[in-house]
Amino acid sequence: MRRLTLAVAAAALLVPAVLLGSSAAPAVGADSDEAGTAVTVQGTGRFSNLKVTVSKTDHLVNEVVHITWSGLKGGSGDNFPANYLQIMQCWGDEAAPVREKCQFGGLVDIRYGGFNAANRQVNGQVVDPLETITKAPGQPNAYVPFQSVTGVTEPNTPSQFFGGYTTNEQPFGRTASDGTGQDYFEVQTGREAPGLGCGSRLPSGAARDCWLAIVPRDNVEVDGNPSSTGTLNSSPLSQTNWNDKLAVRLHFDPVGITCPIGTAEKRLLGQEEVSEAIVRWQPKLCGETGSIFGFSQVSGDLARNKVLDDDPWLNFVSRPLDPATVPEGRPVTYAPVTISALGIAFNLDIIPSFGAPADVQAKRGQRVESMKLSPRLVAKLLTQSYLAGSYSPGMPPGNAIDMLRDPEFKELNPQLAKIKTETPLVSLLQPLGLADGHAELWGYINSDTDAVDFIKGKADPWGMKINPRYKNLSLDRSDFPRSDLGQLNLGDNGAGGTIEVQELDARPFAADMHEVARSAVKGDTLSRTQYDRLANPPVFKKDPPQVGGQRSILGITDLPTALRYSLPMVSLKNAAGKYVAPTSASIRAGLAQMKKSEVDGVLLSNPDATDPEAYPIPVITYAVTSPQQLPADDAKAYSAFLKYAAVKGQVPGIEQGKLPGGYVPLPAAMVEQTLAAAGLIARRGDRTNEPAAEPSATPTDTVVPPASSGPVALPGVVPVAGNGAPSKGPVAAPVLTGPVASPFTTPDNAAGPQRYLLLAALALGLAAGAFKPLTTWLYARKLAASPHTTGPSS
Amino acid sequence: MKGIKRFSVAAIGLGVAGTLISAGMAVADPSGSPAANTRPLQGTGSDTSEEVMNGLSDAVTIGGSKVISSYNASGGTFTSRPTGCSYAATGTVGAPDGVLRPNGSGQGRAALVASETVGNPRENCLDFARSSSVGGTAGSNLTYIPFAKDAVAFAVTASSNLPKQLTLADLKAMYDCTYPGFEDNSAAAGWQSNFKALLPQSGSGSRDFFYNTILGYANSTLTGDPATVRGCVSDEKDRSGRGDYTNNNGIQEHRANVLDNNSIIGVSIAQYIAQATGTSPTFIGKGVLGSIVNTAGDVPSYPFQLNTTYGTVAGAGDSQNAPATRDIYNVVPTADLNDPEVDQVFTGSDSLLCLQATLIAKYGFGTLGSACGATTITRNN
Repeated sequence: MRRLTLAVAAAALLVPAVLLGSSAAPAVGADSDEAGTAVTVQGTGRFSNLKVTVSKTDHLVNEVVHITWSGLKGGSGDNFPANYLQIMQCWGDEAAPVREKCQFGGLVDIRYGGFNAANRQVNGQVVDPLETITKAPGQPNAYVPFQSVTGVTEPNTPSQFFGGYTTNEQPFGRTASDGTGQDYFEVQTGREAPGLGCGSRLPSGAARDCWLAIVPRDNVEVDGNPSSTGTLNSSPLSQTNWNDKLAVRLHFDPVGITCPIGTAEKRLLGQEEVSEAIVRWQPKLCGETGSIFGFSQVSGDLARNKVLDDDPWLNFVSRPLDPATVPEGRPVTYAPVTISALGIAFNLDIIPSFGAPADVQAKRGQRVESMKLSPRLVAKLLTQSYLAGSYSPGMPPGNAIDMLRDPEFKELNPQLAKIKTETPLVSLLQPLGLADGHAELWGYINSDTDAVDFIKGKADPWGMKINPRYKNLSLDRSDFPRSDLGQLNLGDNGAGGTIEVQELDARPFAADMHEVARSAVKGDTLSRTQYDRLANPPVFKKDPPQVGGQRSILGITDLPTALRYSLPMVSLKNAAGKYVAPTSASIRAGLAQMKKSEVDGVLLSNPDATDPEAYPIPVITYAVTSPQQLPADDAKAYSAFLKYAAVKGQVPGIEQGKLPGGYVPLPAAMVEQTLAAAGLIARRGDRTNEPAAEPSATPTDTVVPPASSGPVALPGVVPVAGNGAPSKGPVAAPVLTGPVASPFTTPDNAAGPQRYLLLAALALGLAAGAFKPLTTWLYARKLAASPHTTGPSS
Repeated sequence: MKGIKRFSVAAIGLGVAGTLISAGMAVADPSGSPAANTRPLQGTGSDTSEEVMNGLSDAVTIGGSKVISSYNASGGTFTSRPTGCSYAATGTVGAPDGVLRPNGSGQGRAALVASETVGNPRENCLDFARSSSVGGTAGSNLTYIPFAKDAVAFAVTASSNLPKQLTLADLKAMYDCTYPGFEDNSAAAGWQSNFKALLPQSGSGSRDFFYNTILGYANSTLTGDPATVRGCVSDEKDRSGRGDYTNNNGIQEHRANVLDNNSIIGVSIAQYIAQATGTSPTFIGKGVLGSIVNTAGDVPSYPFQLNTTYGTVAGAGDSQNAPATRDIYNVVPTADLNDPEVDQVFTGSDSLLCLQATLIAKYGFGTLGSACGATTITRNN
């Protein structure tokens, strides 16, 4: 059994509930609290009919808020010559946003709008009579400088603080011809936007508030005349445009945890499904328990292995350890801490097909709020069975080109039969690696006869067959294999060779479910298929993000994460044949149908659940440890953690310390189970022999600074000085890399660790089910074996 | 009114043949004295403005000497300085070191960036690039100086099976292969649609303007095997796919003779006019200009004489105004804006280029008046 010495990425993100948009599935959790923080503002002058509403403005963390508006005089069309909103986030405590303090002008690949509509340049062919900024010495044109919260002022973009793939600016808020529109805007804390520092703790202890600045554009240029070409070329920061801005104050929860210096840090290890809740609880846990809890996100397999370690920590899994792997006389305790749901989130905008009926045309640019998928459709997406999802020859010729053209999809979703997407919809954003949640999804597919038949090679009723490279795929797995690694020939490269797009560049994995959701809501497919001949050497650059109104991304994630990023989730077919989206009620119904596993205290999903209201993939996260192996102070801390988690942590709300949206509070019986486990852990499993007094762990740096997103650490892990040899002595003080926004923060455009993830994906695809390649690739450290090796859990 | 009235020179209002340049058309590469590779302003790039820049190269002098050498998008080998700086002929392997004559706006700008790059084998070889659109990424390395106005429409053959009036929605549907006849047909038919939507080869500024700006499609929508992704769109003369330009198979800009009765392509109207009047070598073949109309059945306004009110193209349903006019640019490194030749020839409405408004108009372009020669647009490449 490997002993892993892991430093902890104390990801102290604060996670609130986020409304699911206006839609079919009612939000789960703290939605009424959030609705109470919505703000509406009104325009002035030419824009006095304009009303803009921001869905959430308090207790903000890094999340996506829903902005809606009405009252513009016309539509922006597809190319944004005129009639749109420009939305940006700014810092500053003045009475209104100051343009120098706004994060804008960071986009590099801009397809739409006029020349300066998306940058900071304030001179152009049309002169703004109110503009006072002139060309600075050495600058080719006049720009509004960017004054960052750190004190550094830059004359223009490119900025060291925000770039093309990290900025949250929305220069082109799509507006329909009736003057209404909406946008899903990512608000960023100081971690994601270090130039703004929102949410950072001020000397007073309060969190820094920030602004949302919204500049409306109609068809009038800065000189008061309609644009001669119909396209507005001036920047929103040009003084005349800036004077029209609307402003909304954004109140953030403080970033980072504060605890007295010397507070012991305790480690939590486990699956992503519990991370939203833990991150929400972390700021309160210090005061409530006297410890800081740092969470590291790892697969269920690694977490289960940790339970059998000399120093077992507290770990989070959905599936129990295989009892055969647990040594005699070493009881393992399970305590449920969260209940949520796994599924498929989607960001799909309506683009009417050619010849679509008027009612579909009327919805151009709006989001699709509900979608039904059968297990077979999910299987098709996961097995590259659509023709445009494979670059290899030998695909069954009768297969549909993509899901929107699949008769099975159209029959199930007749309201979506007359829409199209800019690029074919052929796959899902899948998290890389092994996870219990992934196994749940495969288990769901495996429970459906049609889907299983499809995997075995049988054609669906319309003649579509599985991609032959996935035929007879084993569904007893916890990864998403990519078995068809074809290449696409893009033509000659002008130097005697050809340009080949690789499958994993066209459809990469996401690092985890958070990256799936965050990318999906921003229109980021993660693809890198833009061949830049002019780079030296030529390179594939990241595809530009899909523009609002033309987005089409689906991805695997859980409900709390989907809600945080304002994404709806797919209605999946349950065993009773009904299509159900994840809601409080449907998750509870699914929970009620879960069945006991062979391990006492652990429930497993039930593929034969008959309740027609049940959502088919509920997820329970259990805290698990070996109480007798815990050192005394760990036991005390973990016990306090579980007491908090079971009671105060189950109160829904958007404030720190509460249960974020997407989780269903534990029912009474589970609360009791967890409190009982907490008691057992406090007593260290009713140990009969007291070991020699153990030296306590060396106190570590405890104040976790709200640092900027510095160099990306590999997920949650930093090699620690020391050899990782098993010992009962003090663990070497871990190097806290400082909090990272998520354990899998993806760098802007560098290959970096993501490259390892791609290599790991290949390794995983070949050696499914073995977690060794993952650790070998990602951790360059030799791990010593522990005397308690009993072999990997199932 | 059905069909397009074939124009005649008189209807164009361009003036009589006697005012055409020299005895016919300007040649592909600079001629006359001083020798081409001694002139201070060497440039390559877009097809759209190659003839007008050739004409301007002959007309613009400083101290009685020609100062511009503009090389067409395709042609033979040339050198741009007295020593070194050789660019191989189009369609060859680019001996001695693989550097070819830049073909199109994108390659022209890339060659200019290379020329500004220390250590590049063609460092300091070029001074400007012809570009028919503002491309590249945000930044300020290069300044795009407009000197003429163009408009873009589509062309089909005179006897085409496709309509000569289309709404913007129709045109968009053709280029995403959902218009009837343009759909990806079955595997049994080899995934060949009946009709083909053609584009100039990748890197062309006119292609980008037509596909990105007028139609509103990102370049990433063309990534994928043409058998499954927008199979009706091709940039190859043999229509067998996309991106394979070997053996000169790439479609050049503004050559309507690539059309047959079942295909459509975007063209520069200025080019069309110039070719039709003999000012530029003609590649029109059987092509005729179509026009984009607001709603089906509108009386179209034919953009034969470059009509500067042919400004925005409205679409059906939602307001989908797409600017159909565009400025044409000479791109210079921002760092060179104060060089005496660059300053005199390119920048400001008093520049030598901008003073040649009459000449520019003879090539079918609109003129820009006081907006000519502005230096407010910069990009990184």
